[in-house]
Amino acid sequence: MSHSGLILLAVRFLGAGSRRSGRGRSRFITAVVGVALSLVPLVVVQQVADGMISGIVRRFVETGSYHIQAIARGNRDNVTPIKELGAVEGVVSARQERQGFGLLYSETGRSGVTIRAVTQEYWSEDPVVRDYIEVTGGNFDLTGPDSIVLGIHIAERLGAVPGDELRLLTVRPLGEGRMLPRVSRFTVAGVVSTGYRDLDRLWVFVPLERGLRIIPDESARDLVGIKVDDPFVLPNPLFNRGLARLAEGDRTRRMARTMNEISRTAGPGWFVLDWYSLEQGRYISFLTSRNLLSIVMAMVVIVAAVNVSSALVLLVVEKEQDIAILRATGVSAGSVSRAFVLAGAIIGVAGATLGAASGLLIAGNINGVLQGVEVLLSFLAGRSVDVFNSDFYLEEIPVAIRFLPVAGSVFFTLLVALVAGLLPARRAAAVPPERILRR
Amino acid sequence: MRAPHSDSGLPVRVGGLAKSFPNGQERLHILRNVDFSVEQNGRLAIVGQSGSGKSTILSLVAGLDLPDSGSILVGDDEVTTLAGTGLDGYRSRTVGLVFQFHYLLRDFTALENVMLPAMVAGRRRTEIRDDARELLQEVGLEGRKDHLPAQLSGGERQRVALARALINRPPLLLADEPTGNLDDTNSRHVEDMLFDVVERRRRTLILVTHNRELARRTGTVLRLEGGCLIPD
Repeated sequence: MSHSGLILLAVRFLGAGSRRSGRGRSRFITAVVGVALSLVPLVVVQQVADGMISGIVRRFVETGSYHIQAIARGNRDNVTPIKELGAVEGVVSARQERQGFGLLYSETGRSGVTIRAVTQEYWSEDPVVRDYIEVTGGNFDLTGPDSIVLGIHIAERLGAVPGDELRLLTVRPLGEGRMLPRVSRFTVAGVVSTGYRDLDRLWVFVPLERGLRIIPDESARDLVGIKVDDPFVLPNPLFNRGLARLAEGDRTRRMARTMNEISRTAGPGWFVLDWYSLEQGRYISFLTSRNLLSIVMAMVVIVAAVNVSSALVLLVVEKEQDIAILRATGVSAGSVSRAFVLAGAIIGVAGATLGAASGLLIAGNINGVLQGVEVLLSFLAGRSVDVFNSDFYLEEIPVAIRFLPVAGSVFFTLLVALVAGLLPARRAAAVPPERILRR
Repeated sequence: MRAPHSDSGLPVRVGGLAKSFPNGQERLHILRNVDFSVEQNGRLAIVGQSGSGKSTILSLVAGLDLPDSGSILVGDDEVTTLAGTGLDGYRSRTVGLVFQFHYLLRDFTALENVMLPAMVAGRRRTEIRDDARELLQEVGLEGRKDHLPAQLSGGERQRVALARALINRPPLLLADEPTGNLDDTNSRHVEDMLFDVVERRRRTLILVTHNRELARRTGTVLRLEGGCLIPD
């Protein structure tokens, strides 16, 4: 049968393109809406999860782990090669940092903290850091030797505000289980927030020179935090995968050369690790969560496809007489079968288009949607309801629409709809032409 | 099997045709030993009581069903041996079917109903459309071409069915009680149209009816009785 004949058959069987309305058309609309609704959660989950992962990862990388770290292997006599690393092609900045642990006291409380001893340039020379870290009190000022800048949740726990005096306890291990405690006094210069609780409840910043004195060598982590001009093309499964990896091949190779040059320049006394390797466990857990969610949502699409199959089977039963007539006029079983597969594909295309568009619309406005849901639920419950507790995630979900996953979801939906059409197609092909005589 | 767009009919030779259907534990023998022949462009009517097996003969000749035994030769083709695409092609190009009930597809317009069998045959859409319009004009329904079957009267639907049966210019026209569902006026109209078209287009016609007056218009009438055909 000609292609136009097959399309005409499929479209009319679905009740579309005809002035005659009825069960066929409403069944078609129901099936399309079902597929569309099933695709919406998948698209939203992909976009929102990617947005959240991207937002969290970028905060970690830009404010915490740097793009690349050169970590001292333990020999404190190493000369920190700041200038040499800063001169490597592709490197934007290289800054010395010492990290350690301590117990921070105020008059009202105490908190275990991660001490980050950095230079003032960490803040003043890096606009990206300033983009991600918000000063909520005082200033990010480490120019005074006693200055300390607190993460907002530590400040809240200690009841500390700028100008308050705090004591920081660090411990030098002496071997054989003995410890030498050391208490240092600091004055709160500022309180900052990254908008991500995991960071805000741990970090305190102290001046580098002071940190080198109070954080014992034995427990310190000395590093050079390096930022490069194209960090996210470094090999990672978050931003640099699939087609994106192919498209960014040249950039990836350039950054790989930068990594090699950093390793060579740093020399044998330093480990060099990129941002993904530094927090791999955390990022893999993000990816796993997102993938699991996607799989669950894909199952919803499969359920919708079962509904498409049921709708088409009902259509076959309803159109048995018509199929017999077609068979009697010479339409082959194969053509009848193809018409029903095409009908499934038409439902799939219409549903996937509608679903992808709706999903993108919701994903693009997810922050407003969540606010609206919170307002509605709060109104119904008569109390404040937090659907999305920003204390534990981000203040706002950063959504950058990525079309590749949407295309993948649409393709998956079309495939599933096509498969859903196979059973009814087979059933339609089995209708014998002599059934026309049994009316 | 390809006998497209014939300008004349085909001879039909049927011999020793038998057909039975399951009936509980036993079989019901509808046709026992049916023999008949129709010459090229000839006309034949088969009459008989309801349930005697008249429609079964037509379904066998049309290739809609298989006989238990016997031979059906249409032109040079043995219908009982056809299968798959060969059988589809035979139904599409060699046979035009008109039933007691119009069997038009409800969701398709009159024009589309007429065009569909030709689309099956893989002809060009513009050529099909022209032919379908011409046929609808021939049966007096050009002005109703965009109407759905539900918007047509019984006689009009049957005329559309006649046009559909002729769209592929089949050499053999099989009509099963073509006016059985119509009132007298419409019956006469459709009968006249059927014989007129068969005459002008020079087709072979096998007509099944219990209407003896209609049967006599073919010139040759056989009666089906006890599973066998005898001269009426």
